[in-house]
This record gives sequence, C-alpha cells and structure tokens, in this order.
Amino acid sequence: MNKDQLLAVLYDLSLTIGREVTVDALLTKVVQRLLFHTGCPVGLVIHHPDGLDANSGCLLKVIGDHQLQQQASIGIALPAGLLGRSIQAETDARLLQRFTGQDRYHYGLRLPLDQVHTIMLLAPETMLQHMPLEHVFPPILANLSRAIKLCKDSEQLAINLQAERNQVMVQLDRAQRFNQALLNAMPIAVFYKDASGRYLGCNPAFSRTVGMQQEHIIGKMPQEVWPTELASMFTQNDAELIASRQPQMFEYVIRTQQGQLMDVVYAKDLFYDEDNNIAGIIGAFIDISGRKKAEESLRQSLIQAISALSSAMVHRDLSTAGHEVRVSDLAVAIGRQLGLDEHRLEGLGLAAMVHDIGQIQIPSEILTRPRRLNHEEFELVKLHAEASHEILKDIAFPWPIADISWQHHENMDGSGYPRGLRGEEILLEARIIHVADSMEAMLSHRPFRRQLGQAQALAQLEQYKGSVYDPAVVDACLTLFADHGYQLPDHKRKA
Amino acid sequence: MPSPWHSSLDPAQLASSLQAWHAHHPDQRLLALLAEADREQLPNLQTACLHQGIELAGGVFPRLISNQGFVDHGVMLLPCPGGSQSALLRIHTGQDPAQTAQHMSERITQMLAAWPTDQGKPTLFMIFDGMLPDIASILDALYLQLADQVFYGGVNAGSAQFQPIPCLFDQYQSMMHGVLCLLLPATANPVINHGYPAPEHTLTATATVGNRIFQIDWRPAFDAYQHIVKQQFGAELNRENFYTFGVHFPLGIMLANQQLLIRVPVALEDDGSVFCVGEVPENAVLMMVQAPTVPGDDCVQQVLGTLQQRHGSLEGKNLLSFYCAGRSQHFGPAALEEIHGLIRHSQAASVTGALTLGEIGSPHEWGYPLFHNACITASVWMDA
Repeated sequence: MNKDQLLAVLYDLSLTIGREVTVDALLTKVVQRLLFHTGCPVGLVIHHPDGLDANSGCLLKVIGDHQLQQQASIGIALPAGLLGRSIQAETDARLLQRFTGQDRYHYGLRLPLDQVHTIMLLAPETMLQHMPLEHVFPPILANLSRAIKLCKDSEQLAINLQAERNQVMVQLDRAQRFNQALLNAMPIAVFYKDASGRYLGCNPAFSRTVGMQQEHIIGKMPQEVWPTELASMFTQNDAELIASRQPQMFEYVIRTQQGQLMDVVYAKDLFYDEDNNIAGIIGAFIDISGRKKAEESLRQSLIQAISALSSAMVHRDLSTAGHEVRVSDLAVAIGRQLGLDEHRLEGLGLAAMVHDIGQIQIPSEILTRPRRLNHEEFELVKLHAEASHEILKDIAFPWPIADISWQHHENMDGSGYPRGLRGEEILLEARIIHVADSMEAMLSHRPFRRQLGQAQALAQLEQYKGSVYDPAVVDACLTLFADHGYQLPDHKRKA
Repeated sequence: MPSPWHSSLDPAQLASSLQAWHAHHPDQRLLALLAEADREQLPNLQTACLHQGIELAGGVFPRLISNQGFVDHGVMLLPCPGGSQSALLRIHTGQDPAQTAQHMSERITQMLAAWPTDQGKPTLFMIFDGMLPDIASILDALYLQLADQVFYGGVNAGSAQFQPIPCLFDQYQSMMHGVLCLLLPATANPVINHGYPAPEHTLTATATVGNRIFQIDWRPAFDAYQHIVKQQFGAELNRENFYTFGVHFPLGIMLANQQLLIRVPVALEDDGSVFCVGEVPENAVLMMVQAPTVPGDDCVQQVLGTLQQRHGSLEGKNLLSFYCAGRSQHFGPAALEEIHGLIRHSQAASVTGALTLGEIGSPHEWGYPLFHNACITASVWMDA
C-alpha cells in the first residue's frame, strides 16, 4: 500500500469519525467503516470500566456476529491478554474462543481507544498482513477517542437540554391546564382566533352562546359560526382592531345560529407571539340580557310612578289637565330637534311629566284661582320648583330629573327662580322644559286669561329669547312650529 | 431437459417446457434471467407459470450468459433447490436506506425461520433494481440487522441504457425500485473479482449524493474527470463519448485491505455531475483506474480457484455467473473470451447467468458485503 492509498483510507476513516454526534451512531459508523476497509466480518466495541486490566466488561456495539449481538450490553468475561495498550493483531485462537465462545475466529485486531474502550475486529483468518497497523491506526484511534468524549459531552448536553425542556413542558402543561380550567369555569363566553379570524379555541360558555359544539367551532371562520350580518360586522371589527391595536368594547344584540337574541357587552383585544407579531384575537362576550331586562323593568316602574304622580296633579287642577303630557311632548320634540340621543330624550320626557310635582304642596285654591295672583300668592307658587326638587331628589333616576324640575323656571339672564341661575348653569333639559312649559301655557286657557294664538306665543318666545329663554331652544321650537307644523297633543287630537 | 435451461418466450414453447419440468419437480420454484430485448414478453412467462402453478422470481438483464456465450434473447430458467424462498419487495423512492434495510430484514427474518436447519447457513442473494442510488448504504444497514445469519451476494438488474424499467418480477407482477431477495443454499454465495490493478494517483470526490458525483477535487465533476483522463491517459473526453470512455477509465475506491472497489461512470447529467453505477461515499477518496486493455486469464482463474477451494472440483456442476455490463463494454468482443475461459477452465456442466449493472459480494466466503462494478461473479448452482 503506497502513501497515496494509505492517505485515502485515513482520510475516509477520519471523515467518518467527524460526522456523528452520538456515541452509538459514531461507534456504528466507525465499526462499519472499519469492516468495509479491512474485510473483517465482525467488529466489536468493548467497554471495560475497570481499565485495561479488567477481567469483565460489556459489548457496547456488535456488528456481524448474530450470536454475540444477543450478548450486547450484557456483561462478558474478558480473558487475560485480550486487552492492552497497544494495537495488536491477535492470532491466538484459544484466547479468541474464550472471549467469543466460538471457535471460528482465528484473527482479532485489537484497537484500544482509551483506558475503558477497545475496538476488536474478528475474522476466521489472518487479515491485513500487508498493512503497517502501527502507522495507520494510532491517529484514527486518537481522533476517535476524542470524538467519543465530544459525543458523550454532546449527549449529556442534549440530556440536560431535554430535562430542561421537559421541565418547561411540565410547567407549560400545568399552565395550560390551569388556563383551560379557568376558561371552562368562566360564565363569560371567551374565544380566541388567529389573525385571519379563524377560531383557534373557545370555552364552554362561548360554545353555549353560539349554540355549537366546541370541536365544530374550532377551525371555522366567523361566517361559518354567526349569522351573515354579525359575521361581517365581527370581521370588520377585527380588521379595525388589527389596524389600531387598541382594545375594543361594544354593546351588541347578537343573534345565534339558532335565532336566539342576546344583549351582550363584547370586548376584544390582540395577543402577540414571541416576536411581538400579532398572533391573533382574543375576545369575550358578557351576557347582559338579565341586566337589560332589570333596567327595562325599573324604567317601566318609574314611568308608572311618574304617570301616577302626574295623574294626581291632574286631579288637583282640572284647568291644567294634560299640561304635563303636552309639555313633555313638546320638550321631547324640541330635544330631538336639538339632536339629543334617545336616552337623554327619555329622561327629558319624564322630567317634563313631573316638573311641576312640587305644586302638590301649594293649596289648590291658589292654583285654580280665576284671577291674577297677588305678590304673596305668586311667591307661594314659586316655591313649587324647590318642592319638586325635594320630592324627586331621593328617587334613583338614571337622569337628573330632580335638578331639571328645580331649574325649569330659571332664566338665562339670572332673573328666574328659585336660585337665579344663569346661562349654562341651567341644565339644557331645564331650559327646554322652560320653553315648552311657557309655550304650552300660552297656547292654553287659564282661569285668569284667554289663550294666545300660536303666532303670538311664538312672538313672545322670540321677544324673550336670550334673556329668559335659551336662544337655541327657542330657535328649535320656532322651527318645529313654523317649519314642521308641530302641534301640541290636544291639537293633534282635535285635528 | 438440462437444468438450468434457456427458453424462448414463445407461449407454446414455454408452456411445453415448463409443463415437462414441473411434472418432475412439482415443489421447486424457478429463478428467471430475462433478456432485456424480450422484456415485453415477460407476461408470457408469468402466464405460463401461473397456469402451471410454478412460483417464479427473476430479473431483466441487458444480455444473458449460457454455454454458448452471450445471448440477446429469451430467458434462462434456473430451478431453485428445495427450501429456497423469495420475496419481491418495493423500495420507495427517497426512503432512508436504514428503513429499507429494516423492511428487508423483517421479511428475511421470516424466511430464515422457515429455512431447513439441515441445509446450514443460507445465502441471501439479492437482485436490486440497478437505478437505486444507495445500494451500498442499504447493504451496510442490512448487515447491522442480519449479521452473519446469511452469506451475502447479489447483482443489479436493469437496462443496458440505464433507463428505468420494471426489471424485477415474480409470477404476478413486475416492478422497478425494488429488490428481489432469494434465500438459497450456501453454494449460491458468489465468488467475486474484477482483476483491475490499483492505480498510483488519487482524487477526491468532494460532493456526492448517492451515486452522483457533483465535484471532484473541488471542481465540477465532468471538467475534472475530463482533465484527468486527458492528463493521465491522453484521451479526449466529451459529452458524446462519455459513456464509451467511462467504462475504460472507471473510478476506484481504495480499501485498507488493498481491495479496489470499482465505480463505472455511465452518464453525464445536465448539471455536469457524473452518474455512477453504485453509490460513492461522501468525500470518498477516489482513484482513476485504467482498466486492463485485455482481460487475460487471471481474473477468471482467481474466481474459479476460490470457488474450487470452497466446493472442490467444479466438473459437471452448474455454475451461476454474472458479468458486469461495463466490463463487457470495456473489453468488447474479448469479454466473450472470459466467459469461454470460465466454461473451459471450470469444466462445469453449464454456465448460466447475465450481464449486470452491479455486483454484490465479498472476497471471503464470510466477508462483509460490498457493492462492486466491473466484476465477474460465480457460484455453484444446486438445483436439487
């Protein structure tokens, strides 16, 4: 074998050693390659932890001998003379027989790796006679010994990493179980979906809200879960959420696939991956149908109570019967003209119904006296605004009805009563009722005067616009009558 | 009827000869070596065997070998000895060699369980589809599994043009990308030799995948190969004459025991990579080999000598012999001299075989199985 040929073999074996990262794969590949190169049919790796004088060890790797393969990893006796520091071609068949338990091996090439590992190649006849063993194998074996150490370190590192990973997985699993239990226990419907809107998961409350099994929701798009109009609204909201990255909260009436209507507060936010990219959307529905029902019930009760108070007023002064209803109608019309929302209009209407409730404390003969009131009587009547406030202030309205009643005779210039408030100090609702109250009074008969015509009444409003009445409110009232042909309820009935 | 025998694929002739043979050997199966030129007529053979209830296994080869030399047509039919078994296994493209070996090993272990113990250790004779790129790795992995429970031998079937064809078959089917595993008596363990001398100079295959070499000495494979052929042998190599030159200037992998494994480059890919018959280990140190100009007697004599050492006189025996198609291409008409030498020197009753696209064996009866090119193999074929 010339130098080039020898180098070719060394090069090939060295590359084989450098390719593997686990001890088992390294030993397998190296022994395979040694068999490939030497033609020996059998290769063993003996582990002898007690050193080179050990009399027992185990076979870490066996290739090519089926019988010895059955003994791999089991203890095996190592006859004296088998192990040694040097590379040696062993031709003592009896020694090999004591070691393998077989009489067919007449050649064993001993390749010691380190103090505790030896490779042994076996063959039925002498091999490699032409090869300078002492030159070929030492650098390979030294390399292999180092590679085994590196592989062991690498395996230990992998074991440690795996242990850490397992620990993390246990913690993650625990956290996931806790989160799942939390989600399951929540009465609030919770879902999460990917950035494209596809549902990734949800809790049983969400499943009940939607009316679909959890496994039928996961993987679906909103249009496969919700009615079309809701689905497109949700999809649009999702797009806005992703664009703005700001949490959203809405109040919706939702309709499930089964057609059931439900009042909900709907909150949505984004969740992010480890690179802070948007990973998806998490959201919750809070069913507020019960609360809405209770609110409606309370509202109805208030309306009934107010209607009852209003009726009591009617019985005290028949000449002003229907005044509150008409003021309320006009006030709401003015409020709507001014662009107030429905909730505020509702409060305005109710306030108008009870704005004069304080008159209940004024002797009815004063209220029904068919002449102009003298100064003392008028001072007495002026007390009704204060009285209205006193009666209403302890009732928990969702609107400032007591304050509105208190302020409905205040003038813009501070000349009104009872407290002489001015301008913006007076609630808008009070300013509206002030106009509606005056307008209704001017358009109605009183025991002490005839009703004014509509034009005359409107002229009065115009005259006191800014001083007594809020100009914007007067303008709205004028528009109603002049442009929209508004008529008070009695007139409507007559018409 | 001589055994083994050559037959045409004429349905009538097949039916007649098979019926006559089967009447006397009802429990034997047949190994068939089918000439590529007649592969379209394989169904005739399969149909005839199915009708007679004969178990069939075989492969398609570029040419056949008989006592008359090379035969381009027909089929060589070899009655398998009692106890023989076969399994035709598919190998999925891209499957890891270790998985393939595991699959083969499981099937062969089943076959070993049914092997008659009084026949001693059997030979596992494998016929692979020659287009498989990783046969050497499959052999390495298979040896890990089966170890010394069998002797190892085999050949590659396929087309002389190295085109994929369904080259393996039994009586029911034919397939490509597979292996035919035959469990035969120990005498089927082939002796293998090529007789090519080891060269002095080496070169490094720096990038290989399976049986394709992308770089040699860190240069595009074909450029480097072309340059070396020109430098060492003065031959002008180009894409057109690549195949005809490749067989004359094969590559060699040098082993520590001074064996030289030959790899014949047979095709040039569009990307300049060189396609070999047989796997080339990654970063293998290759040698440019100049094949001997004339075959001589040495190789045949060595094969027969080893065969005689194992089995005694070969006189009157039937020999199964395979001859590498690349070797045949290289020697041209002189290849026939080697076949005639084999017949003459062995004094065998018959020599039956085929041209192959790769050979599997070991220089020793008990040796590590290696994949070769450019070899002659021979074994004693026992038919009873």
